[in-house]
Amino acid sequence: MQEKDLIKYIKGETNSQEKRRIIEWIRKDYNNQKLYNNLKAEYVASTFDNSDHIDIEKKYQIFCSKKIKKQKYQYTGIVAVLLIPLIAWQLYTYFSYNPIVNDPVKISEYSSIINISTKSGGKKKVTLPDGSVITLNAESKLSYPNRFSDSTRSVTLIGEAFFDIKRDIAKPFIVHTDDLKVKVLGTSFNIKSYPDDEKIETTLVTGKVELLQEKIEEPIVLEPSHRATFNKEKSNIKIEKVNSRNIIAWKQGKLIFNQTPLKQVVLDLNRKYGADFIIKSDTLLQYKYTGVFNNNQSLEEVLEILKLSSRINYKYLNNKVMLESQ
Amino acid sequence: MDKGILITNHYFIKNIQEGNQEAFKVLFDLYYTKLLHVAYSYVPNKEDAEEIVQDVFLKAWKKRKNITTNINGYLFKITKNSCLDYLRSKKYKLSSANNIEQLEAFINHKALKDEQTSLIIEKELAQRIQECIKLLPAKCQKVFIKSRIDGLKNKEISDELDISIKTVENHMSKALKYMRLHLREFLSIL
Repeated sequence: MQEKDLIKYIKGETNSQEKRRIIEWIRKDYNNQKLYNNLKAEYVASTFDNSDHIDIEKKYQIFCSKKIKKQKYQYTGIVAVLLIPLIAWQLYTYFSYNPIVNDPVKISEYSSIINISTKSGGKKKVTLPDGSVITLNAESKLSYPNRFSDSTRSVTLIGEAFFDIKRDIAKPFIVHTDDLKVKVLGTSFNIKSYPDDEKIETTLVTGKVELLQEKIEEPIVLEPSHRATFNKEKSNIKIEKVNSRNIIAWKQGKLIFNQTPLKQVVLDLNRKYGADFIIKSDTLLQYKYTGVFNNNQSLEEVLEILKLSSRINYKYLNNKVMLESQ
Repeated sequence: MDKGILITNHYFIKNIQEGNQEAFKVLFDLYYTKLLHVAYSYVPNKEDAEEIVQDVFLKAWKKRKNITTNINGYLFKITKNSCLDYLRSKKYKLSSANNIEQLEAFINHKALKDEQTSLIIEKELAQRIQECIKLLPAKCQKVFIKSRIDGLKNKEISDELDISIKTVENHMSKALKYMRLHLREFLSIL
C-alpha cells in the first residue's frame, strides 16, 4: 500500500472496491492505522478552506431558536413536575377500572402524560412523539409525556418492553424503572422489570446503553447482545452475553426458557395465560427448565410439553395449576 | 498585533462568560464553518455533522461559565468528543460483519481519538481563526479588537484613538460586516 492510495481514499476518490481494500489494510496493523491517523489529520488541517459555502446567518438563527427553546422548556419543566403526581393518580384510578384488554392501543390524553397498559396475555405497540417504537409485553405499563422536554426523553416502565429508539444525540432517552435508570442515545433493547420478579433484566440488541443505579456509582455500559441483570435484593449487577433473539422472542408470542428457574417460568406463564400456579416444593421452585413455547399453543398444550420435557407433573386445583415432581 | 491577544483575551472571555450575545455571535461566526469541516471529515453524514456542531455551540453557551482562556481547545474538544460518541454508536450498530460504513466508523474513531494527530488539527484551527481576524482592514481591526476582545466601551475607544463615537460605531459595524462577508468570500473562492 502506498501513501498515495491512502490519500486518494482520504480525499474520497476511491471506488467501493478500493475503499474496502484500503480500510482492511488500515485495520490490519497498528502502524497502518497510525499512518492513516496522521495523513487524515494533515489532510483535514490543510483543507479548512475547501468547505462549501455556508449561510452562517441562517445557521445562527437555527442556533438561536434552539437556545430559546431550551430555556422555555426549562421553565415548563417545573410546571410539569408539579402536575405529574396529580395526573398520575387520576390516570391510575382511570386505568384500574378500564376493562379493555387486548384492544388496539387506546391512547388517553390527560394534558401531558400518556399511560399505556396491558393485561395478562396482552401486547401493544406504541409510537412515541419522537418516532421511537415501543412494544409492551403482558401486564406492563408505560408512561410518557405527549411532548418530550428539550433536554431528555424520559419514560417510566413497569413490566417488560422492547424499545426501538430514534437517534437524537441532543436528547438522551431515559427509561425509569423502580430501581434502575437506563439511558440511551439511539438503539434497540429490551427491559424486563416486573415488580414481582427478583431481577431487572436489560438486554441490548443494537447500539449502546448506560445503566444508572443509585447504589452503583459508575454507569454501566452495555454492549450489543449482552444482558445486564440487576438483582433487587442484593443490589448487584451481572453482565453476560446472550442471544438477543431469544430475549425478544416474546414479541412473536414465543416463550423461550434457557436454564430458567421454574419460579420465573411460572411468572412468565401467568402473565401470558393469566393462570395461577401453586408450587409447594422449594427444590422444584429452583428447578432449571429449558424449552420453547409457541404463540398458538394453549395452556393445556404448554403444560403437557412441560410434563413431557421435564420431571414435572401438573394437576388442577380450584382453578389453579399445581406443579409437583413426577 | 500580538497573536496571543485574540481569542484568549481576558475581556473577551469575560464577555462570553457573562452571556454577552454579540461576543458569542463573534465566536459562532468564526468557528461554525471550521468546526463543521472537522466534524464532516470524520462523520460520514452532513446532517449529522451539522447537528453535532449546533449542539457544540449549545453546550458551549450552556456551560459558558466554564470557558477559560483556551477557547479554541475548548470548542475543539467538545466537537471531537461529540464526534467520538457518534462514531462509537455507529461502530456498534451491527448489520453485517463487513459492512463498509461500520468499518469506516471504526478507523475514523481511532483516527480522531489519536491525541497526537488530532492536535495537528486543533493547532491549525487556532491559526486559521487568528488569520481571519488579521485580514480585517487595519482601522477596523483596531476598533474591533479594542471593543470585542479588550472589552472597551465605545466611549473609551473614542477617547483612546481620538475619533468620534459615531466613527467607532461605524468601524464596528463595518468590522462585523466585513468579517462575515470575508468569511464567506474566503470560503467560496477556494
